[in-house]
Amino acid sequence: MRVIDGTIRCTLHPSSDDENDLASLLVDLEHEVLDETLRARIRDQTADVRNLILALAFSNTGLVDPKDA
Amino acid sequence: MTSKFLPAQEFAAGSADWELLPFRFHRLDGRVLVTNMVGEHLFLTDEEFELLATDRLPHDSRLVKRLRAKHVIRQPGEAAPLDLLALKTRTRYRRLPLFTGLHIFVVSLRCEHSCPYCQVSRQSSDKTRYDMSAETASSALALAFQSPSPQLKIEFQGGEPLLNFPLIKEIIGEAERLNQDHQRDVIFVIATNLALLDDEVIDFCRDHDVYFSTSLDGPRDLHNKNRPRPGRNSWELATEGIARVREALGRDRVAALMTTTKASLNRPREIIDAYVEHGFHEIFLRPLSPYGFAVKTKSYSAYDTDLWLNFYREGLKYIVDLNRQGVDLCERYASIMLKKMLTNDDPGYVDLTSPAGIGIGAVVYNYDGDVYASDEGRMLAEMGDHTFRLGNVANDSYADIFLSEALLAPLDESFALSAPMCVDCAIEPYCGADPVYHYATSGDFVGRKPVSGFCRRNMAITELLLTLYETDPDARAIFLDWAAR
Repeated sequence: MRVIDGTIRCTLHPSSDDENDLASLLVDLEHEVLDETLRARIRDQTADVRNLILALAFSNTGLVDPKDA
Repeated sequence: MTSKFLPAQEFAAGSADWELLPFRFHRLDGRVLVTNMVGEHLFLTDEEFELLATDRLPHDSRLVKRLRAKHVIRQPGEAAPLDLLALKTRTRYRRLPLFTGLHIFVVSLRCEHSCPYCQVSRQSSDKTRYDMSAETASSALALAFQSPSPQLKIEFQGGEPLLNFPLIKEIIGEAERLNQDHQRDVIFVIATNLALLDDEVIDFCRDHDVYFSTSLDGPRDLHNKNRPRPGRNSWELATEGIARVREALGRDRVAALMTTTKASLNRPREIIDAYVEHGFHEIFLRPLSPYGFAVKTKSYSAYDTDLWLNFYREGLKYIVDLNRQGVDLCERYASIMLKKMLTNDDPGYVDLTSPAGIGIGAVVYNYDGDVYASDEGRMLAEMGDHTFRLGNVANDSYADIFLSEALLAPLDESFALSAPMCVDCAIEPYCGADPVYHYATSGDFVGRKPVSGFCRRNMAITELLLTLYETDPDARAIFLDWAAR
């Protein structure tokens, strides 16, 4: 993978000469890119509420001496 | 009479402005598995998932109710989902502050078996060379009682620990004396092939509430092939020992584990039948151990994982069918994952939890006083790799050992919520971190998940369990029972 002029170029090196395999691989890759893009968006969109939930979960654990808080 | 509850419309959604809560997804057989922050799951169709992913959920619908119930969405400003997710997160991690509960004492490396899959045993008449000394045992016991865990399981392993039975008796006696002050819930287990079981052992174990864990690899020919010894009678001695312990101490005082070898892979039903025949209600279809292959031959690969998965799928389906016919037999690997899928609890199984269970869940005190983060870490040391050696009971304090870089680095680096791919994986709540496995197979604590046998295995088992849970009502009932054990 390389970034060229703001575009990510991904070069595939198939292990098989079967064109059907390559076509299927390309479809799978495109779907995977879409899904990973969606995962990144969900992660970013829910980051604040996730951190809030974790803060709620681990507050009052007694792991920090109140004098040091 | 005035109702104590607000009317139903008070809980209705005010608008279609749903906010997403943290969730992850995984595509499976034309549907989408969605898991929330604590692993509660639901399946959506592609169309339903698209509505969720593109913020086009309606004001109200059956889909909205399902998503709301599983804390995937909330109304803006709604606090209850956050409080509930926080509570469930705390529940999942509740075992962490309890710290190390399992303390493994390797009292001898000597063994009269010569199992090819065992990396550590030694056959020697020189007892002093490979036996733990009383002084080492005492130092290790002192460390064990420094663990904050209210429950301590002291497990004797080897080699064959009964070859050093006098030391086992000393350790148990000293532990009982120490516990008069500490007042922990202490359990003793001897992991033994039972070949050396005699009346002295039985009587002592009765008097001190000691449990047994033994090996039963399946039917006689398979077990004896896997576990050679002089006389070629390992299976006979094991099954006689199981019967003898049950008669003398009680039915539940002996458990059995099988080790999966290449010879096991096309015989899952026979192995399961052997467990049923000998009256066990649990079997653990354990994965192939990579340590011998990885360290000696570098040949362990995903190919072996696929063979094992075929073994597991056939075995699990057979066990479900047996349960359908009224046979009470639980598969342990499944029950560990099902507890994480269907409850908010994490059973803390050392090899399937994150943060990893090494040191936190279990620790190993070797015969020579060296302390290891796990049994597999000890096996690597026997091959010359001391990466997971934490210290020595003679020279190092509790803090030296449990705050050592040898423990903290693999825990930190392998933590699934920080690991590439794991952090975005819908199955992460059911999986774990296994830095020893990944170190042994790929050279680092994290591994490369696209080629990780650990990842492939757990993903495949999750898919199998969830598919059966969703499509087979009998399997669903069986799995709910296993999850509650």
